[in-house]
This record gives sequence, structure tokens and C-alpha cells, in this order.
Amino acid sequence: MKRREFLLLTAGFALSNTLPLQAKKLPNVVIEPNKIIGLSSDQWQLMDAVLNHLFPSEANAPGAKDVYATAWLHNALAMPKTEQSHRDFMRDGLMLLEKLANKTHQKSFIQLSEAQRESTLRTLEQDREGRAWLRETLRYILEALLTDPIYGGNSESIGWKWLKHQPGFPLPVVGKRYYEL
Amino acid sequence: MSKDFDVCVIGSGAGGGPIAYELSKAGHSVVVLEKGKWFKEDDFYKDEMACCIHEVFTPNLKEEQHVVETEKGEGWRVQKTSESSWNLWNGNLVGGSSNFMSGFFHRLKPIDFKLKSTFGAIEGANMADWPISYDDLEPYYDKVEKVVGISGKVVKHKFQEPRSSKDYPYPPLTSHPLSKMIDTACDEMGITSIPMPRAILSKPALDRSSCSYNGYCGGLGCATGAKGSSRAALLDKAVKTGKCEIYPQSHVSRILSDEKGKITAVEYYNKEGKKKHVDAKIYVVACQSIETARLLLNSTGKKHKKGLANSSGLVGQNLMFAGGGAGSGRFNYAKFSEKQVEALRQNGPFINRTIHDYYVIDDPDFGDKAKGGVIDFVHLHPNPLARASGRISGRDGLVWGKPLKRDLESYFRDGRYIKIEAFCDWLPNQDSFVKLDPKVKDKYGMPVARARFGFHGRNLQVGYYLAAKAGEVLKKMGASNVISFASGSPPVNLVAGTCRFGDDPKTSVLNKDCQAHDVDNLYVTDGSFMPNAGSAPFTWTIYANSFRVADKIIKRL
Repeated sequence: MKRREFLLLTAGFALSNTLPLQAKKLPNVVIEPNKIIGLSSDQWQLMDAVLNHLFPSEANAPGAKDVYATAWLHNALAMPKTEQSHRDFMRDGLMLLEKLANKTHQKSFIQLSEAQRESTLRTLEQDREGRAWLRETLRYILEALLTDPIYGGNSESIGWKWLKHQPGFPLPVVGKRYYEL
Repeated sequence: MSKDFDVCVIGSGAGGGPIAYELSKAGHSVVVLEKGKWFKEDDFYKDEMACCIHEVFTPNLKEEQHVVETEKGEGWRVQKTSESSWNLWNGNLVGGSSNFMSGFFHRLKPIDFKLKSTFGAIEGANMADWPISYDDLEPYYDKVEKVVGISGKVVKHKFQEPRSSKDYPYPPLTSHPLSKMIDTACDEMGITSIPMPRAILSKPALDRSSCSYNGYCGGLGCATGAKGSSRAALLDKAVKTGKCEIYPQSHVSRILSDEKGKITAVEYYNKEGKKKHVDAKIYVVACQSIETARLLLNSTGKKHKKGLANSSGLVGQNLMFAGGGAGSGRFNYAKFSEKQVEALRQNGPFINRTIHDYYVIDDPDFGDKAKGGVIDFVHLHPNPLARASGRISGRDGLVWGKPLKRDLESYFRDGRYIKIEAFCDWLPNQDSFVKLDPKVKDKYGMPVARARFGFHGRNLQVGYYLAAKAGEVLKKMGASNVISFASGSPPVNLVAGTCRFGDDPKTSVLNKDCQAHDVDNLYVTDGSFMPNAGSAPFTWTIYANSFRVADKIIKRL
């Protein structure tokens, strides 16, 4: 990736500290993160908190943060082939959650205790749209955890090693990633 | 009048490959039109993102899709595939979906050619004997073993079909420790466990490499060329003759015919989206049953008002899949020694075991003597994201957080599964067919195929019987969590029918040479010709029949 594009990828991105070095291997897309799905920096912080709650980091078991799930999701939504309706869907679900937190606890989800976060997410699950959003969000975490390290998640095969998963061979190389075929 | 080519083949999978291979070797000029790209061995990686998450080898459903009808109460639920989880494309690339097959290769058996006369008519099923016999096809089954390359070992059993060669040309692939456990359990139960023939080379041969045993086979392209795809086994060699040209990214939208009904040319869109034409003396359609029917139905002409070769009105009728059941059992590592666990954990070697003892069911508990089927034992697909995604949905709702993590640990690390695949005939019936959708069109402006997936109750009965028998074997082996079930949902990767062959032009689309009754210069060589598709994966039969038809065309040219 050209340096200018990489800068664009990270520009204005409040979570740049969670963007992994692997992001450099991500495809040549010129994006402005805040415009992609209309998420502000604060909203990305919120998404980060959700992902970490859904798949927490532990001493012997990687969590969302260890596989850069937030950056993963961000980049997945930024891919040129990703449909706008899907980007909207991922944003709307997050807003639904935040609304629920405000209503129940008069706070942002980010300010809630772990137990409050859990109960708010469980309430969201009762809603049909909310459940679909949670399922999709979980799927993104698993994508970051278990797809080939060349895509930026599963750093140093941390997910595969944790689950004693034996990958196949040959594994994809630069120039032969799915969007390059 | 001079033609661009002697033969024009539409579709490059298991139905098209043998035609291109045989005709070009015989010195005839051949063009193969394939709507997908031409990927080579060094484009195939063990990458779940490429094979299974993104549309790399199939069209974008927004641009090219299908419409499906599934049973819902008394009526039919209609869904566009772009708005549902269905996807009827199985691989659009040179070599077709044979690039992604597992290569579980079974011949049909002599009774499959005469099911109606052997077992009588079945209410609600359109059974018909074949216009050819097993003996007519046997030499071509044999040819596929040698030319495509099949590994295996002939074992004596009561339904062993007649063979002209004593054994397979290539020894069986290396097997997993679970295979021996299946053999032992079957021995004790008086069941014959057979090494499953595979269209995978167990040693380097035919200018191709051997299997690399990396554990990721079915659903993914082969990086060594060991898998006998139409591309690796046939098309690469056809091209080397200098007589065969492959046009990738060339989507055929219509076949044009003159006032006498003869095909004059094929209309296709090339890589740049430009409309082009090509003509030949003989045309061969092999786009897989659903797309073959759609192409013929879209190709109306002065003499073919209802669609090409459709005077019988049967183009698109009698759509079939591999019917059957499935199941699984789990082997928890806690029961085994450390050394055994190490062996069991391996992903490379194959299970490769199949049971044919129930090909005919003669069991008072079942009912009257009936056609049964085949049981295959296989590994659970190793793709980790697919496996993990299945764990999100728990009995009481979604699972996340530490409970999900503990579940993944146990699921992935503490044991492994054997999967049961039970195959019976998908009985052809009046609610299983393909027609043109009245509204939905593809990006070329042509109506898309609309497929109804009605199944016969017998499918479930036989599927369940077979899956339960397989479940007993797993229990005998000491498996836990054994489940077996039957399903009326079609496995859309194994599709047949829609252009049945037969002697009577009123009740069939093709004659016994797979030449259209109505169109002198048209042949159909994918699985469309089959009046019944056997009770096992039928790719071997598609290959064999295509080799048979190739001989007919060579004689004619």
C-alpha cells in the first residue's frame, strides 16, 4: 500500500492505537473512516467496547482486542465492495444499543459496568434487529480471530494456536488475497 | 459454409471437459466458452475468505441470481437468492465446480439404469428406465479411472458393480486413524466397509502431482493438481493439442437457430461485456442442470417457440439433487492415550470409508424391498470460521463472552467429529423443476432461472434409514453426541435432470446419444440427461457419459 493511502486509512481515526501494523497489509483502498458508515470517533470507541465485551481478552485466551477486531470491522466496512446498506445496518444496530443504554441507565454504554453492559446487550438480543446485529458483530469477531493472518486479524496465528487449529497449505500470499484474485 | 470451429462447448466442468479433451485429441477444432475466469493451480490457496466468505468464484448475486421456491404449507415460498441465504452457483471458472468437488467417486450400479422395471412405478415420482444399460457405460467409467485418475481399492461386496479392470489404477489415499475404527466396528456388525474411491491422485501421474494431504479439499481448489477437476485432468491437456481454445469470462446468453431449427451460432458476452458470436458444426451444452435448462428455455427460435429442444415441454422438468440424510458423532480425546490423540488430531489423511450394503433395502422393518443408497463417512469440513460460527447460536439464545470462548476451546481442542453423508435417489417429481422467472433478469437482460425444490416423501424415508444405520456404526465405535437425520432440502452442489434422455421424443428431451431429439446439431453432456441420478454423488457418471457422447460425436464428424 502507498503511504498516502495508509495515512488516509488512519486519518481522523481516534482508535489509531488499536490499528495494528497489519493494517499496512490491507488492500489499496482510499477511505475516510468517519464518512464510511457515519461513525464518529466516539462511536468507534463505543463499538470497541462492545467488541471487547462480546469477546473479552484473557491471559490464556485471545479476545477481540488481541485480534484487532475493531480495526478488522472498520476495514471490512471500508472495502469498496461492501454495500452501503450493510454499513448502515452495522451503524444502526450500534445506535440502537446506545439508545437502550441511555433509556435504561441514563448513560452511554461505554460508561456502564460489566454487568450493566451484559444486561443491556441481552435486552438488545430480544429485539429481532438487535439479535441480527449481534450475530453479525460476533461473526466479525470470529473472522478476525480465525481467518488467515495475511488479512490483518489472527496476528501470528494467535487464534489458530489458541484453538489448536491446523491450517492448510499453501496459505494465501500477497498478490493472491481474495480481492486480488 | 465455413465454421469457426468443429465443436463449440458451452460450460467447462465435468460435462464439457471430456468433449473438449476427446474431440481435440481426435484432431477436431474445439472452442470452450466459460463464463468464469481461468484460474490456475497457483491461484488456489487454503483461504476461507476466498473459498467461502466472498464471491471470488461465483457471480455477484445482485447481477446474476436465481429464484427459488421451497415448500411452505400448501404453497410455495418464493425467494430471490440475492435476498436469502441460497446460492445456486457452484463455481464459475474454467473447470467449473469440479474444481471444488471432494471427488467422492461412485459408479451407478446396473439396477440404476432400470429402476422402474425393477421396483415398479412409485406414486408421485416420474420414474423411467434409461435408454442405455450399465454395460454401455462401463467402458467409460473405466476410462475415467485412467484418464481423470481415480484412486481406490476394489473390495468384494454384494453390490459391487461389474468392472472391466481388476482394480483402480491408483492405490487408495492415506487414511486417518478413524478409518480403521470404522472398519473394526463394521466387521463386528457384519457390514462391509469399503475404501471410498476418490478422483484424487495418490501418487504423481498423468503429468500431475500427488495429493499433498493438507486437509482442505472439498469446497476448495486443489493447489497440486491431484484433484481430477475437468481443468487439471482434461482441459489443460486439450489446450496442449493445439486444437482447443478456451474463452474464459465468456457468458453465453442465447443459442440462435434458423427456420429449420438448426443452431446457427451462439451469442455471448466477452470479458469486456461486448456481445459476440461464434459458430460451429456441433454445439454441446454443459452448464449444469439449472443453467443448461435456463439457456435452452431462453433460446427460442422460429422452430423452437417454447425454447430450444423443448417440443416435449420437458426442458427444466425432473430437476434432481442428491437426496438423503446426514449426521455426525464426536470422539472425545479424553478417551484416548496421548499418542492416539496426536494421531487423531491430524487433518491431512482422509477417512474415505463408504458402505454400499443398503443399496437395495430388503428389511421388513422398512417395508417393501426398495432402492436404498450409499453411506459415506467423512471429516467435518475443517474451515475454522464456518465451524466457530456454528457455535454462536445456543439453545437459549446467542452465546458470547467467556461462555463462547470456553465452548470454542472444548469444541476445537477436546475432540473431533465424523460426519455421515447418506445418499438416496432424489425421486424426480412434478414439483421439482426449472423455469424462467417472469420478472427477474440478469445483468445481460435475460430472465433468470426459477427453481422449485419439491421433494418426494420417499427421500426422507430412505435418507433417514441410511443415516440411522450409519449412526449405529458411530455408536459402535464409541462416539458420543451421535445424531442422524434426513432432509428434504436440496444439496445444490449436486444437481441433475432437466433434460432427460430417452427413446421417445414425447417423454424425453435427448435421445440415447444425448443429442436433442429436436435439434440435429445439439448435444447436452452435463448431469441434465439423467432420468434418475443414482444414490451417490454422480460426478463420475457425468464424466463417463460425456466421454461416451464424445465417441458418438467423433464418429459423426
